[in-house]
Amino acid sequence: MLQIIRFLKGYLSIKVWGFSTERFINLCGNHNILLWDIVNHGDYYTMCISLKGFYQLKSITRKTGTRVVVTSRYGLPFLTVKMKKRKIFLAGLCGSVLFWIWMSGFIWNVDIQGNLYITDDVFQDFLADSGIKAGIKKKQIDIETLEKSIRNEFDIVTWTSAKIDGTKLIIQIKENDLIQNQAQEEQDTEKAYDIVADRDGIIESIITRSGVPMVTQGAEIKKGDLLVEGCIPIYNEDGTVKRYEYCTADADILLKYSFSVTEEIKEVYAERTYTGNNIKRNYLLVSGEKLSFPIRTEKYEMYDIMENQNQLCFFSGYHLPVYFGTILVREYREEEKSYSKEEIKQKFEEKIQKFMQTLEEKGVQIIEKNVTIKKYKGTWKMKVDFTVMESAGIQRRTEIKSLQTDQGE
Amino acid sequence: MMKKVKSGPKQQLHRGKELVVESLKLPRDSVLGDSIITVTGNTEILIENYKGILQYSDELILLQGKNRKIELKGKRLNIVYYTNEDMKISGMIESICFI
Repeated sequence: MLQIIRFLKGYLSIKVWGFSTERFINLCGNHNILLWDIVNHGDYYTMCISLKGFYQLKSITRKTGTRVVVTSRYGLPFLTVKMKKRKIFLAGLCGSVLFWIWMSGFIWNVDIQGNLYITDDVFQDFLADSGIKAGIKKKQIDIETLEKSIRNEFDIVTWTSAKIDGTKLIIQIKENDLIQNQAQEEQDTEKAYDIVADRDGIIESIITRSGVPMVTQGAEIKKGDLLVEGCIPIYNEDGTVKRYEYCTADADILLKYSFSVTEEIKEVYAERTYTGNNIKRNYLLVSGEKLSFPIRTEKYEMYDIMENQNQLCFFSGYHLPVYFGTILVREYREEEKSYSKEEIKQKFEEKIQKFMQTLEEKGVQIIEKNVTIKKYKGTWKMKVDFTVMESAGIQRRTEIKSLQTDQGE
Repeated sequence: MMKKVKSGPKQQLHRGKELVVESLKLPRDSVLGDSIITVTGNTEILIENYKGILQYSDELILLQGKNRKIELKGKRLNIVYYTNEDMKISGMIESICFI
C-alpha cells in the first residue's frame, strides 16, 4: 500500500556527499521529509526521497554543505513525461480503450430463458428473421417491439422480458402450460382411443377407469393386443347394440414379463498408466483461427489430449468472440492385463446395479433376477434373466364401429 | 572529613521528574524522553524517540537520544527509513551501547 502511494506521488533516488551528511539526514527528519533505503557507500550516501521533499532540500544542502545528485526517478509524475516520448505506445493504449468502448456497443451473446415448448433453434430462427443475432449494435434493438413481436409470433408465450446486460441480450419468456395441457386434453376427447399392449406378457392387474376392458387378470397377451377398447356399446332391450359411445380408454394395467440382458467383457484389457510427461499450451481462438505454439507430439508413442476452452468475458457480462484455453497432452503407456474372477464379478455387479437403477427410474418393479456368468474363449459373458412388472399399454385410435353396425342394420 | 557531593539543579530536576513518573506510573518515553528500541532477532532494529543521527557508517550508527547516546555496532547496517519520530535499521547487529 505504502509503495503504491509512493509510486503515485513520485520519488527520487539521490546521491548525497559532502561535509556533514549525518546532519543532512537529521535536518531532513526535522523538516518532515521522509527518507528511506539509506545506504552508506563510504564516500557518499544513496537514499530515496519523496518528490515533494526533494524541492525542500535546497536550504538544507546549503546549511550542511552537502551536494545532492538525482540518480533515477520513479513514479507516476515521471511516467507521464516518459509517455510523451512513446507516442505510438500511448496511441495503442488509447486505441485499445476506444476499441473496448466501441466493442461494448454490440451484442455478443443472446440468452433465451424460460422456453420449454419452443426450442432454442426455433427461437433463434425467429430472432434471426427479426434481425437480432450476435454482432448487431445495441442501438438497433428496440426492446419494446421485440417483446411485442415475440408475443405475436408465439401464442403460447404469455409474458416476455428482454434486457441488455453488458454485451448480452437476455430474453426471458413465460409459456402458458395450462392452456397447452387443456388444449391437448380437448383434442384427445374429440377422438376415441383404445389401449393396446406395447409388449408381450401376463396381465398382473387391470383397473379400468373408462372404456371396456378386453382382457382379465392372468391373461397372456401379445404385443399389439387390444387391452381396453375406447368404444362402449349401448345395448337395446333385446340385447342388440343400439349405438357406440366413444371415449379415450384409460386404465392402470400392470404387466408381468420376462426378458434377459447379456453383457460381455473381454478378459484381457489395456490399462493406461500416465507417465507424467505432459505438454501444456495456452491458445487463443479468434474467429475460428487457433493461435498457439506448436505442440510436438512425435516423442510420445501414445497420448491423449485434453482441451479446456473459455470465452473471453469482461465484468461477467461483456462476452467477446474471443476464446482462450489450454491444451494438455498427456503421455501414457498401455499394459495388457487380465481381469480376475472377483474383478469380473464386481464389474458385472456394477453394470447390473446401474441397469436396475434405470429400470426403477422408469417405474419398473423387479420381481426376479437370475444371473449367470461364464467364460468363453477369453471373454466373460453374463446373462441376467429379469422378471419384472410394469404398467403397460399405449394409446391407439379406435376403429369406428358404428358405421359397420349401421350398414349391418 | 568527607565532602558531600552536591548534585546540580538540572540533575535534581531530573530525579524529581523520575520520582513523579514512577509514582504516577506515567510512560517514561513521552515524559522523560527515553528512547524505545525494538530489536527483532539480530537483523532489525526499530528506534523511536531520538533527536538525531550523529554518525553513520557500514559498521556503526551513533544516535543522539534525549538523555544518552545510543551506539549500534554491526555489519552491513542500512537505514530502511528515517523520519522525525522513528527509524528502522537492518543488518547484522552485534551490540547496542548507551554512552
